[in-house]
Amino acid sequence: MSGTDSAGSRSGTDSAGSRSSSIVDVKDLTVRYRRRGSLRRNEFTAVDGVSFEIGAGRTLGIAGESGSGKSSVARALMRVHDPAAGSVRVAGREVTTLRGGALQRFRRHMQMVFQDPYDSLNPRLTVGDNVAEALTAAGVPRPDHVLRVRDLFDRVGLPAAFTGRYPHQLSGGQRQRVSIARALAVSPQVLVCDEAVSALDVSVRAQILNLLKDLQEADGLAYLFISHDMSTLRFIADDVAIMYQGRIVELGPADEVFARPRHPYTRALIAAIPQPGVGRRHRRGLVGGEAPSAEAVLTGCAFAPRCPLATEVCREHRPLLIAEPGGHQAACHHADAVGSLTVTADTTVPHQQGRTA
Amino acid sequence: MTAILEVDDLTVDFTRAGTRTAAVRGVSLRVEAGERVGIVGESGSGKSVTAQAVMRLLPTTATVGGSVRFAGQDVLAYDAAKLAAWRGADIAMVFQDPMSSLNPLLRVGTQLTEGLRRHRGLSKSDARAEAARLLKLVGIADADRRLDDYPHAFSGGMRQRVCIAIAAACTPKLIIADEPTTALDVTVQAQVLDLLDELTERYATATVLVSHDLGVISSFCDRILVMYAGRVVEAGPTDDIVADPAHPYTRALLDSIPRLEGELPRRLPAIPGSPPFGDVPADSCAFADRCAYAQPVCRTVAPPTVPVGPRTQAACHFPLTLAEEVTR
Repeated sequence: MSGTDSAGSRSGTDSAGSRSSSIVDVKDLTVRYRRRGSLRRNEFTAVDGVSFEIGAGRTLGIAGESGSGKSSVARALMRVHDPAAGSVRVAGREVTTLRGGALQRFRRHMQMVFQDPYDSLNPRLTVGDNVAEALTAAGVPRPDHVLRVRDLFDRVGLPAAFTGRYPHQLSGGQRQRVSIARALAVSPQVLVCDEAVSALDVSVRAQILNLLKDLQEADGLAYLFISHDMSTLRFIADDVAIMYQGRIVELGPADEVFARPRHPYTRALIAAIPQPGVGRRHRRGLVGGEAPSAEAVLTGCAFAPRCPLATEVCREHRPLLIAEPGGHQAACHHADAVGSLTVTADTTVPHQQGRTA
Repeated sequence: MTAILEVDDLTVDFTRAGTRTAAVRGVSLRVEAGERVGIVGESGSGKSVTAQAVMRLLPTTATVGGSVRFAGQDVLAYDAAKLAAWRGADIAMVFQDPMSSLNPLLRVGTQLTEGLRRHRGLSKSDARAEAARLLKLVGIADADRRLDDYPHAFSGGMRQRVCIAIAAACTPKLIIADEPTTALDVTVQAQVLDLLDELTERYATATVLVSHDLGVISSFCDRILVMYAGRVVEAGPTDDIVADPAHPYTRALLDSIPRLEGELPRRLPAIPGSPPFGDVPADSCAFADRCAYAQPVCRTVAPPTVPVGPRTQAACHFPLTLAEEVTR
């Protein structure tokens, strides 16, 4: 279906297609969790057959709503939770089978920055010692710590005098800079940012996004940047993957995905973002309802119950992720009709059964 | 037009361990019947404290000054009985986290009918019928049966719909919504904002929306107040402020949101530093340290609130709108 679409050939060929230089290569990643409190084998699938690549010095943004599985992808990549199936290759090495010392050494290649720096920093250590802990783990000899910590603080834009302070003495933005400094301490090649700017004030968020961009340009870091905020992703990401119910429903170069979404869910996500200056009180909701619970078992397309384009085929057959020539992939039976979806009062789908208004 | 809510020079101080911290430092606002007013600000700007002061929800450690008048009556002088009769009937509040504002041990129907029976004096069966109608109104299917469910059986967006139904139950004149969509997914946020819009239109309820998100505020409100460090730094009609902000802080806030259309800069225009925490000196502009346009006078004299456009006011010594006129 997508092969007949000529518009795809216009897009850049380099962005999603630079296969040789990819530093992270994920294939058919599947993550399952055991349901709590059940005696029998009772699992649900949080991530179902997800594949993507990230090139050195590039940023892949993952968007999706709560329960879409985006954080589970990050946890599986970091080996916080072991994937049930699939392969993850970082810098050419398979990491899903690593154990013990080899796993520890791998974590030097890949580090993580979390949403809430107050939870991820040790409150009983000074922020300097928080960063130095990472240096110890990396095997940097103790006498070098002071200099290295100062150097790291300098790189993330914090004064050296701050090393002696405790996390509670810093503002949210400063704490997030410390988290980034700690992640950089082991000189990783990949940084996984899970909602790293979501808890920050708007004015501080822009500073941290700029810092991440600067660090990337200086070091050629690759980012996996997870966020529910599409406007942040448009700024930071080279490529964007949209997740829904554990699967990638759309993946492509960020400018392509934003300008020409090929999945109705992506279209709805973009339409739902309130932007200053685009007028007041237009109908914002392009889709009704909410994502079904992660444990729901569905046949066909998971988005069909909420989708304004859904037809019989969507409820029976799960659409496959199909790539256009430019590398823009979408899993939708009606991908070619997504462009005609507009946000007007008429297309607003009331909540599933019988909303009176 | 008649003002539903008039807040004049509101101040809130918190006393803790003998030290006083000013959270709100002279906020004035007026809400007309049926109007949608937004209060936008970052953490610590005093926006939620202002909302709670209006609702009389602040703890006893808070000292409230100035005046709050609701339909001409002095709210700060209300006694406990008057407050109980007022809240829920004439004014209602929607909070950020619907899980903690609903009682997990009571059925949704019980929580919905409580206000109907108390304020509107409905019988048990009438209240139940009305509650079912309200649930349907906020877009919950199979309302009759769902009245018997507990809050945990609803998803996050559905819970917030229940909270809005409770707030709207007695058709109050004013609903104060404090970050009502912050905990929700974006597509659900859009639905909830649409719902609030619908209720405002249907019952001419006035709404005060409090949020950190200028996008949410400007897509919903007729008028905006921008708060910073306990003061209103700019106020006026949404369109005027978004198109032509006068205060450097408002301008910087607007600039720091990445747009969904058009070219993006390689770096976002960011505001240096972070919002002040705790006390700020009274005799200076609280934003001076982060402001690109700051002059010596900004650090010695607190700027008064002055008109900066036909319908807008700002507290700035060097409002951007006036500066542009001079250079023209």
